Amino acid sequence: MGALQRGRVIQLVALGVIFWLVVLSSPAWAHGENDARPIARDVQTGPYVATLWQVIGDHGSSLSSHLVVSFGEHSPTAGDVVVIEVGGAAGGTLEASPTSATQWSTAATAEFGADVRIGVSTESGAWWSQSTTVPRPPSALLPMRALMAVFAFVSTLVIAWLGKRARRAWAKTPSPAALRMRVGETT
Amino acid sequence: MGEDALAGGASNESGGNHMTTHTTGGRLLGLQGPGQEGLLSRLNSAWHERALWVFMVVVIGHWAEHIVQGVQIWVLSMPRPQALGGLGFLAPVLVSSEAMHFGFAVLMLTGLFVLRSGFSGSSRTWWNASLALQGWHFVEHFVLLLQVVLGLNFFGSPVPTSLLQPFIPRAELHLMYNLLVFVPMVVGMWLHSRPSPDGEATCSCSLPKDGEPVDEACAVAV
Repeated sequence: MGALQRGRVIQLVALGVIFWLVVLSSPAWAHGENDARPIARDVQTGPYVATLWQVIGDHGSSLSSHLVVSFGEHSPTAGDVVVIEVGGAAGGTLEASPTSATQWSTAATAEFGADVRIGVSTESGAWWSQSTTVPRPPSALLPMRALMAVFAFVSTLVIAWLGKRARRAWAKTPSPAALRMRVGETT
Repeated sequence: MGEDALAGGASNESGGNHMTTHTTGGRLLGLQGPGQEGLLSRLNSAWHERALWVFMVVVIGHWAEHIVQGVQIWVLSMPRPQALGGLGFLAPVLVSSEAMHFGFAVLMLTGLFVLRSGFSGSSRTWWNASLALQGWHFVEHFVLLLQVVLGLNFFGSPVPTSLLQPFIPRAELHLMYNLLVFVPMVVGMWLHSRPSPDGEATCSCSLPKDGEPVDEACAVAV
């Protein structure tokens, strides 16, 4: 493929991507929740299996932590009741997620060490899960502070090198003939 | 005259120069003849050094944002949703918008691809490694954007999730991705800025500018 054709293909792809981003993906521009961690997976509640998530939502100037119960393929339906108990106290009834058929959320939150239970009530029965304890937030396996110091140092070196190259990058490039002349002078 | 010559000027192979003049002209300068060069070709010959410099400034700005975010998380112990880097601190949408992340991944991939043919030898190998890793990084951001657009998150997560996120948290994972792209890119650029011993230079990046000494390796290239 010639350089001209390749250039056209790249331009077409870039235009397509921009079109797709602007026209089709407007929800992607939304300021959404960006941190979630699973508190417990495979929590059996009667016939249902769920994952309990703690979601920390960022609302610009404030943070709010809340719980989300994410069921597997087999999920309670809209008429059923899903509740949560945190530290022995009622954590409230969960609302079905408007965007997912299998997720239920509540404004309640749970701190490290609290015992949490999920309850489901349907026409065919009511069940509680085994109590599960909220684990400590995961700690980094690597010495992240030291790594950040190394990254910052190396990046500073790269920035210094780029700074040195800046003047060169915009300096006039000699013609091949002039270069040959200079090579001839030096050898 | 210099840049015009590099971009589309004469390919003078004659001249009785005792140097290895067979590597001059077209091969050295990536010439196609006057008036035949497109933007892509110029970006990989006469403008390669400048294009790389501008691209690198953008890349290092983004990389610095990841470092600032890392400092916020691991040094300042800020809650992760509040650790948005420097620009994200001023405008949170810059971090929380998946479209923005995807857009930058496209920019990175495009830059690595467009500027690739100006490299040769071992510098090209490093650049290719960076391109391949960015390819995977792009896939990860595409998958994240897809989850937002479809409203369907992977792994039963209530938030969009990267493919390797079940094993490594998002901040660490994308810091690692950017590190893996950044390091071979810098190594490739550094190798590329040195005169090639095999005289395979196709751009001006390693050629001595006015006022700079002409060393032996460059003599081979010229």
